[in-house]
Amino acid sequence: MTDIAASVSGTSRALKRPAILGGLAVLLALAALLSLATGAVPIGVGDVLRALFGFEVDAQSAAVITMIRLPRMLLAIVVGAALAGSGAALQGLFRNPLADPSLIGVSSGAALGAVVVIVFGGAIAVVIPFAASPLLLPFAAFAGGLAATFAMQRLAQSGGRSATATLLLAGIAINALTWALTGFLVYVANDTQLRDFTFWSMGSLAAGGWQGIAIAALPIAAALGIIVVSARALDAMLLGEREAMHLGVPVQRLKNVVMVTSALAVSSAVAVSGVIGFVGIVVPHLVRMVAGPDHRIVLPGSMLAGAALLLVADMFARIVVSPAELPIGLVTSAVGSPFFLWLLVRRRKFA
Amino acid sequence: MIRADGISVLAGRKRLLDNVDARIEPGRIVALIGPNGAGKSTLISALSGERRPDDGHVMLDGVPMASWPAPALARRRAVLLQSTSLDFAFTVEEVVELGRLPFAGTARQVGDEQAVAAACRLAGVDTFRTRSYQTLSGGEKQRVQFARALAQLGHRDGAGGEAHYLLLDEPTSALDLRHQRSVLDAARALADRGVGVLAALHDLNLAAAYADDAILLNGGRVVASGPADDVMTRELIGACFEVPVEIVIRENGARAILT
Repeated sequence: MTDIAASVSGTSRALKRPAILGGLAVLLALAALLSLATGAVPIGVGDVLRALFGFEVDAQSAAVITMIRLPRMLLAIVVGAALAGSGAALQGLFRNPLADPSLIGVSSGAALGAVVVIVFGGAIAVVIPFAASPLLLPFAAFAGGLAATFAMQRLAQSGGRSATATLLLAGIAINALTWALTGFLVYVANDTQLRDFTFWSMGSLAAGGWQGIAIAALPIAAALGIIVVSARALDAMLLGEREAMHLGVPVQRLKNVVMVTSALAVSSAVAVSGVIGFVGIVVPHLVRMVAGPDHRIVLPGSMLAGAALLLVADMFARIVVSPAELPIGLVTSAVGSPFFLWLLVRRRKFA
Repeated sequence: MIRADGISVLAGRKRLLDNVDARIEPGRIVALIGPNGAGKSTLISALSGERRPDDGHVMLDGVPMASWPAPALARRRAVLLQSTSLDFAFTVEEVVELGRLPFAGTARQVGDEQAVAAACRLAGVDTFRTRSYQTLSGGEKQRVQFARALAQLGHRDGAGGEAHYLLLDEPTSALDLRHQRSVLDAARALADRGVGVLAALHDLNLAAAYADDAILLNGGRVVASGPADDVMTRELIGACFEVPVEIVIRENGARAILT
């Protein structure tokens, strides 16, 4: 990070901002187009464009695109932006570039909430009629994610700063606790519920569909919008909580806002796609390497790049064992965990 | 004026500050001196509005600190804390620019660039503005943070006739002799422009050379306060620091404290 960043001056970085965001937007558009053309049924990019802009294509291609690939593509974009954007925001909040929603337990907290509903949903629905509504699962996921985030904040921070070791250890503890509870639920679950559970633990964009987008898109868009507006305050937080306070940042309010919005974005993503790890740490890090740590570019840049990365990972997951497909969480973890280890080793060298 | 009247700050049963009076007046430098653990940093956090005293009042221009909204307060006073760690690769310039944060969206935002440039010059960091903060030495980092505080006070933009305040907690602790002086020269220049400066200083000779007034703290209490020459006497310094000292008046009239 330092080598590249050091050679780039602050002012020239500021000038590069629109170029970087523009480049990422183009990258995202290309990935989106490719993802529509990729799959078991071969459809050319030309046909994809024709279908998108309302021109005549054969009925089968049109159906595959609008019923299967388009919602899946949009879901990848929404989920990728949510995971990377909230990862970047949490790293700013914890003042630690290694905070990731899946590592620090936000994702598994949300997954626990979801699994509770999967296993006990039927029983809960008997007691509260409202609980039968499809909103129960996302709501439970949000409650779980938020609880994990607040617990992290309590556990990992001392003196307004989270030491990397404490942060990661607290994350291990929270993950262990949520997985233990989840494991218990799996133990009492029936076969169908077990299959559902696999989906939650390894992540997949296959089952979301248009309904998934309907559930997740609005809360994620709202949460990410609020996060982007907090960019400068998060920059000040990187100096320290006391320093931010002296710069006029309402620190406690900022912390609450960022925690709730990040938890909302991550939980909404988890509710429709399960746990997809490491996107929240890999993507913001890459953006910082190119553009520096200024949140005015790290936040929107991570959202664009996260969406693009998840599209690519999803294409890979669909192609590699075609016609079957890999859970996408396996793909991101396989790429992300070595990257994370590399980061740890590098930091040890510098610190 | 920032003034504290009879403030006490408790940590559990311990009194970090006990019935302390202090004031920071426009155009003057007040040195905050005293042995380790005397309560200097606690007094700074109370005077800056960061920590609400358990007893007594702190006011800025007659308005209680608690009534100042955080952004408005940040436009009137800047604070340099003892140590600031930063795990992200900002450039020097980007750190200094954060000092302009309180002015985003206000009329004074237009002065951002000049304020940053002037602050970098005054703090002597303009030769490495584009370097990564993480690669700097401890002293360089301290000067960059000082520049950030200066940027927060603004350029010579008149500032609408309101007085501004600069609170420095050990601003020279990591600096070599030359930079110790240049930081305090910068503080002097600000005071001459009407800024009220308070600096906690360990180096009594620096305090004697630059301060108009001094507050001598010991065990959370004010032992003496007033014109620096009246506070920094052989008897008071010797008693507080528990070290016998000599005060020497040099040819140019400056006082030097020898142990």
